[in-house]
Amino acid sequence: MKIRNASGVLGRMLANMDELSLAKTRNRMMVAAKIADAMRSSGMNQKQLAQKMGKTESEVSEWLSGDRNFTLDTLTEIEHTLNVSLLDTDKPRYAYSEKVDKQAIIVPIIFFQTKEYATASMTMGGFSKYKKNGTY
Amino acid sequence: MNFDIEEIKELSGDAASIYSVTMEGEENTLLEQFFEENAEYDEELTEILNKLYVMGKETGCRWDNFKHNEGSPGDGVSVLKAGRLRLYCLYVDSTIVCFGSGGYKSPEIRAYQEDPELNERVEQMKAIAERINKAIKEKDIEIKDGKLNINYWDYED
Repeated sequence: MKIRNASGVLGRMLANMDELSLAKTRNRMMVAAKIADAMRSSGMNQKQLAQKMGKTESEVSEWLSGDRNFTLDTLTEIEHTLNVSLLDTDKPRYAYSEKVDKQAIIVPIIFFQTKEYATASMTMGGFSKYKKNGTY
Repeated sequence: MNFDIEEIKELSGDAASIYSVTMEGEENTLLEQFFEENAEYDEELTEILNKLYVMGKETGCRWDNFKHNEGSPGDGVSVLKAGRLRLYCLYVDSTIVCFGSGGYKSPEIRAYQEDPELNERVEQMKAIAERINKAIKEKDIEIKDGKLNINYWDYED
């Protein structure tokens, strides 16, 4: 089988690919692939997923094509329906506490996860409230 | 109809092998010609290129990324879309796709058959698919490890 290097417009475009544009396409295709895999795992076809989510079959087909620029809400709905993780919603690295708002101090979450947390709770009081609530 | 099948080095990767064909008497593959002919649709062309690149390197050519049944029943002729730009291909499986040509599908038409130029590209792809499918069936071309291996190719066929 012959293998060739692309030439002409295709060759020039390959040599000058825009990283951001490629990342956008890649992310859309990756999300589409994850949804398709989750559907397969749950034994659900396009029609069934569409019915379950109150969408049209053609809309689900578009999701899977890799062309869809999803909203966060739609992705969240799909996550709930298919029990799959599509969004990285881990806690942010930095938390902003109302209690220290006046002092404009940004507190790294990692801080709370260390031994110093106990000391901080005592000396800075209000932090423990946010810790208990699970929100920072 | 005589042609050679060629793998596009920069697009193929661990996930899929991307092929095109060079028609007799031509220097460039149909895929390269497609990019030349549609250079004015920069945004759509970039999207097509990005898709091909991601398929080759990461996702493979997933069934859902294509619209199928564009040719004769069961011949594997499919289309990759970006906006209104259409790129026709022979979809072998998720690891092997052979791309032909295509063009811009006007919003004024519903089916490619209404556009003589687009229709010609699809008919060409159908003829290429028929030839390759026959060669696969007769074991002149073998599919192995995500590649097309040519055992025998009768250029004069």
